[in-house]
Amino acid sequence: MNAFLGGVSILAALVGAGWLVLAGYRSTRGREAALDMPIKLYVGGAVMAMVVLQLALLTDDFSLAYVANHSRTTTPFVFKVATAWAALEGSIVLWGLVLAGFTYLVYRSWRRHPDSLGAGALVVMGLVGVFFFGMMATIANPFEICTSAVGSNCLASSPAPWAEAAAVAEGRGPNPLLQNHILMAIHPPMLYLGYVGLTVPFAFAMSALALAQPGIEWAKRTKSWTLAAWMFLTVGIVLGGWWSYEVLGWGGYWAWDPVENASFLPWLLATAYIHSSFVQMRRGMLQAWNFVLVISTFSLTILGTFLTRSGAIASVHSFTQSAVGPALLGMLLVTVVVSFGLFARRSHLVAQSPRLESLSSREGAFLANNLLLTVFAFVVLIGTLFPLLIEAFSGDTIGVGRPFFDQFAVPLSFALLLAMGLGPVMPYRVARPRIVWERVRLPLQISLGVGALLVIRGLRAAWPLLSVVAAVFVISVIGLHLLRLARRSSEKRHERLGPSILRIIRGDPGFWGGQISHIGIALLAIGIAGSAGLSTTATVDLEPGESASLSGYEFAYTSPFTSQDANRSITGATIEVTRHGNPVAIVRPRVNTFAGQGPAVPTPGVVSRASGDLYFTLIAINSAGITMDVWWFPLQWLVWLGGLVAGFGGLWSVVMRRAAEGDKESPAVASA
Amino acid sequence: MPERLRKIASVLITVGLAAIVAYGVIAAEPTPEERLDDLGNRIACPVCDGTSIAASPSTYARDMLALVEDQIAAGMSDDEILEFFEARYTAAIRLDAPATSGRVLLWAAPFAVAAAGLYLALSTRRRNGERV
Repeated sequence: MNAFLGGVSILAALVGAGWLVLAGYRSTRGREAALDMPIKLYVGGAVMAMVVLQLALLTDDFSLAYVANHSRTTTPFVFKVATAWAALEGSIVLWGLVLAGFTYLVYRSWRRHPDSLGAGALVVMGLVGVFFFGMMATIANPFEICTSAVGSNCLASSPAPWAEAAAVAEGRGPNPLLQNHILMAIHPPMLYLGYVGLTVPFAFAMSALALAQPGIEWAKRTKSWTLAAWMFLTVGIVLGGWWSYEVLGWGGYWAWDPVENASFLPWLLATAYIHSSFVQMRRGMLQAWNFVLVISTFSLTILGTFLTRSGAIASVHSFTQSAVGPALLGMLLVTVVVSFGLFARRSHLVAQSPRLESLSSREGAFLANNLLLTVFAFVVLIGTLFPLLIEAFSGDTIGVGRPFFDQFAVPLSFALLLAMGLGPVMPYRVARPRIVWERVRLPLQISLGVGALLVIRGLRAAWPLLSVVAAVFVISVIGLHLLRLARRSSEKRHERLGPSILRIIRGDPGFWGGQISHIGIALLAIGIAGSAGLSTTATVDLEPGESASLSGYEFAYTSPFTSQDANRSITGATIEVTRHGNPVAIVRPRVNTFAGQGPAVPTPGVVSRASGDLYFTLIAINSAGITMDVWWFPLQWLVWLGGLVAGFGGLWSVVMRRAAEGDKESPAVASA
Repeated sequence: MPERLRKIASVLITVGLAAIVAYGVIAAEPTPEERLDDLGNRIACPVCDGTSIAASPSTYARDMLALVEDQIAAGMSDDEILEFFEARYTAAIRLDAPATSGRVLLWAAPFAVAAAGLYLALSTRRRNGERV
C-alpha cells in the first residue's frame, strides 16, 4: 500500500514539475498559462511522498526495502522520523520536498505581480524538480519493495508496487552514528533548507539571462531568499559541527572532512554573493561577477550532493555506491555548461560597470571580501578534489588533510576579519586616511589592549592571539559605531540610549543584520582561536578510584555502569570532576552498542563552563579500568554561540526588512 | 593637553600595545605537547579511513602517536620525524600534503587564483584622470 501511494506521489510530483516547466515557459512568452494546477500537483506530490515515507517508517512497514534496511521496531520515535533522511533515497525525498516548498513560495510571491522574469525562474526550479523527482522515480526509489531478505538484511528489491514482499520481521536499524543524538533530526533539514534555498537566486539569474534582462531586478528580487538560505545553511553547518562534537567523540567539531567542505563551499560563495550584490545594488558594480558567483554557488551545491551522496568519498554521510553518483555528476555538468554557456552568450548585455574610484573605500573592502572568500572557496575545493583527481588519473592515493586547509584557512580568516572590521568605517567612493584613522583609532586600541593583556597574562601563540585581536577589533568597531549613532540620536530626541539603539538597528535591518552576523563570526573566531588553537589533551589509564588532572581540573574514575535502552546497550564510566578540591560536575562518557548494527560508538562526556569545555571520550573499558582521552577546549561555547548569532543576523535582515516593507509598501534599499 | 600632543600620545599608545602583541606572537615557542598534537594531525593513520593518528582511537594510531612522543622527547625535529614515517609508509602517510613534485599544483593553484583575482580587482579601478 505504501509502495503504491509513494510511487503515485512521486509520479504526481514529477508530472507537476514537468507541467510547471511547460506552463511557465508559455507564460514567459507572454501567453496566458495557468501555473496553479501544476504547482498544486508538484507540491502535493512532494508532500505526499514524505508523508507516505514517514507513515511507512512509523508503522514499521518492512515490506519497503528502505524501511527494512534503515529502521527497526525498537528505534525511538524521533529517530524513526529522522530516518526519512538518514539514507540515500530518503534524503532525496527531503531534498525534493524542500525544493517543492521553495517553488511554492516563489510562486506565491510571483502570483501577486506575475511577470516573465518570475515565470522563467519557476521554469528553472521546475527543471531542477524534474531532475530530483526523476531520480526518485528511477534510480533512487525510496518505495521499492523488498523481495528477498536474509534475517533483517534486505538483499533485493523491486520498484513494482505489486511485487511480492519478502517477510522481514525486524529491520536493520539506522546507522549507529545517526541514531545517537537529537541533532540528527534537525541538522539535515536545516542544511537542506540552505542548500536548496540557493536554487532561488540561481533560478532568477538564469531567467534573467535567458530573457535578456540582466539588470539588477533578479538580484533585488532574490535578496531575502538568498539571505534566508544563507541563514539556514549557517545554522545547519553549526549544528553539524555540534553533532560531530557531541557524537563522534574524536575531540573536535570540524575536520575539513570532504562532507563538511561540501556544505562549506556554497556557504563561502553565497556569503561572497550577498556582499557583492550589495555593491551592485548600491553602486551598479560587479554585475557580471554576481552572475558568476550565483552560478558557481548553485553548481557547488550539486557538486556537494554528488560528493556526499555518490560514495566517491568514504564518510559518515556518504551512503552506498549507486547510479545516483553518475546522475548527479551529469546534472553538475549540464548545470555548469548550460548556465555558463548562457552567461557567455548574454555577456554583451551585462552592463559595463562603473569603475572603482579607490581601493581605499567601502567598495574596496567589499572587493577584498570577495577576493578572500573566493580564494578561500578555491582552496577548499582543490583540497577536497585533489586526492580524488589524483586517484582517478594516476591511481595514487595521497592525503590532503587538516594541516593543508588550516595553513590557508587561518591567514585567510584573519584577513577576512580585518576587512570586516575596516569595511563599515570606510565611506563609499573614497576613504581619506585621516577619516579612517579617526574611526579605527579607538577600536584598534581596544583590541590591541585586549591582546596586550593576554600577552601579559602569559599567552604566547601567533594565530590565536592575532585572531582574538582582529575579532575584538571587529566587535568594537561595530559596537562603537552603534553607540555613536545612538548617542547622537538620543540627544536629539531626548530619549534614553537603549530605545535609541533598538530603533537604529530596526531602522536599517539590512545593514545591522549584517553587522550582527559579523559579530557572530567574530565570536566564532574567538571560539576557534581558543578551542582549536589553545586546547590541551591527554590520554589517561585509570582504575576505579584513581584520578588524573588536566589544565587545572582533577577527575576521578569512580565506577563503571551499564544500562539498557530499547535500541542500544550502554557501558560507561562515572567520572567526578573537581577543581582545587571543589566539585565541578559528574560526567558519564560511554560506549553504545546498537541492536542490529555493527561496531560500538562512543558518546563523549562534556562539562561546559564559561572558561571552556572539558571533554572525555572512552577508548576502552573493562573490569580492570578505563582508557580515556581528555581534552580541555577553552571558550568552546563561543563557537556555537557565534555561529548561531551569525545565523540570527541573517534572520534579522529578512524578517525586519519584510516588516519594514509591509509598513511602507515599498522596497527598502539596504545601505550596507 | 594640546590637540597635537594628544594625537601623538594616541599613536604612541597604539604602537606600544602593538609591540606587546607582536612580542606575544613572535615569542610563541611550541611546547612538546603542541608539537605532538601538530605532528599527530599531519600523519595519517594507515589502517583508518583518512583520519590522522591524532584523531583516530585505534590501537595502531595510538602506538604511532606514542612513537612520535618518544621521538620528540629524544630531540628529533619535526622534519626528521615526518621523514621517518614517510620512509616507512610512502608519501601517502602525510596529511599535510607537502609541496613535492605531484603536489606543487595543489599549493600553487590558490596563489594563482589569488593573483588573478587581485589583477581583476585592480583592473576595475578607474585610471587616473578617467571620468565617470
